[in-house]
Amino acid sequence: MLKSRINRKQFIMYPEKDRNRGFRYFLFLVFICIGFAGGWYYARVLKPAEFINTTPEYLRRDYQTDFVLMIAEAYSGIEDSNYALCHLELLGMSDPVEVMTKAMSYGSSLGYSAEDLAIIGELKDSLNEMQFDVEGCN
Amino acid sequence: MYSRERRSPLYLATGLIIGVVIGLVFGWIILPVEAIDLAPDVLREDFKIEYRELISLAYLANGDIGRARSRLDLLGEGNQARTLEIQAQEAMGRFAQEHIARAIGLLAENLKISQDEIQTFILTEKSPEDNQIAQTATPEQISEINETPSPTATGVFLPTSTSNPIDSPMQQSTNVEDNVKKYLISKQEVLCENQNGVQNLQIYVLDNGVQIPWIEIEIEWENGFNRIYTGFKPDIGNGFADFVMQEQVLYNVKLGELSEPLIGISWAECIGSDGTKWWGGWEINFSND
Repeated sequence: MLKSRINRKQFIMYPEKDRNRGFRYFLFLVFICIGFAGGWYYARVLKPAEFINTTPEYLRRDYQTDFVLMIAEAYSGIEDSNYALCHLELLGMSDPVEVMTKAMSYGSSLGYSAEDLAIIGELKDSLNEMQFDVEGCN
Repeated sequence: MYSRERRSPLYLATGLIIGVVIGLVFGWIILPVEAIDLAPDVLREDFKIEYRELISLAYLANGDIGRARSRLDLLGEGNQARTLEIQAQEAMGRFAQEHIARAIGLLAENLKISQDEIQTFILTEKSPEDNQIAQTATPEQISEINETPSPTATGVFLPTSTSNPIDSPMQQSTNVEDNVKKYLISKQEVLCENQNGVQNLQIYVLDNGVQIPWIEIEIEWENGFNRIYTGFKPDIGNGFADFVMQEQVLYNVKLGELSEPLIGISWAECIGSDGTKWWGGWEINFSND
């Protein structure tokens, strides 16, 4: 007890101890920030999170364009516009006709054949004539 | 005199570790790298199923096996044909998906055929001067054929096209009048093995003696109609399909446009050596030779 009283006296008598403590806190925060920067760099650059179980809307653009082409090819065989619409929706865009237009444009820049672009165009023309009313895409 | 305390710098290391942990949590969980520009191999499994479905339907329309194969390669899976077969069987069990199941099954079958052709090509190309007959590929050659290339990380994906595209399977099936293979009933036999069993209609479809899958069989009866396909029970036979008959119902059976109908088939009467009677089924073979 006496010892602690003496320590409290020293605390009052020596304010520079406060300044030392403040400096320590500051250094502590600096090192937290340095650690944060290092952890952040590692997590975002060196070893970013691996993606699994994603959806088609996150596919690279050329894969998305081929996805649209596949839908158009499937439609040319089965002629099920509801099926085509349900699958175009998977790309996460609200307007299917816009999806087709972008696909034709990008496909053309990639060098898609005229036949492939025509198939996409046929589906686009069919969807243009329809009311968009997707029934139960399962 | 009070002397300045010496503190260990250990508390700084603690701060560093805390900072690293917070940085990792932020970088991996709270604010991870944005998911964009991904390849189909990281799709969720249900989307991979949709992907394979689209590939199969596209193949049904254009008949381009090379394009279908390059698209399947993007999914980064081995044994593509087997995966497709399983998916076709599952689709068969779902309402209103028979045509999809058939498309998937057709692609699976043609993938296997094209793989055999590649094996034969590799073997004959390697030893043409010896004029050897193509033999079974070595394990190294098989693994070379089955090796699934990973999706292009940086290159752009372009759907390939076969240089000499054949008629699409759908076109082949509708050009019946141009290239009809008429199937005739080569066998019609009563099945009496199971005295307490179900009265089954067991159908086999053969092309030059080989059972063929994915052939549509139409079964019609008064006020009823059903379509079944061969190939969904490969453990029994690729060209096998079966159907449960009901009592006192007459059925007409035909292979779509490929055969004349077999009319008025029903439960068959079986008689044992001791005079016991019971009802049996039928085995019917359709063949084109």
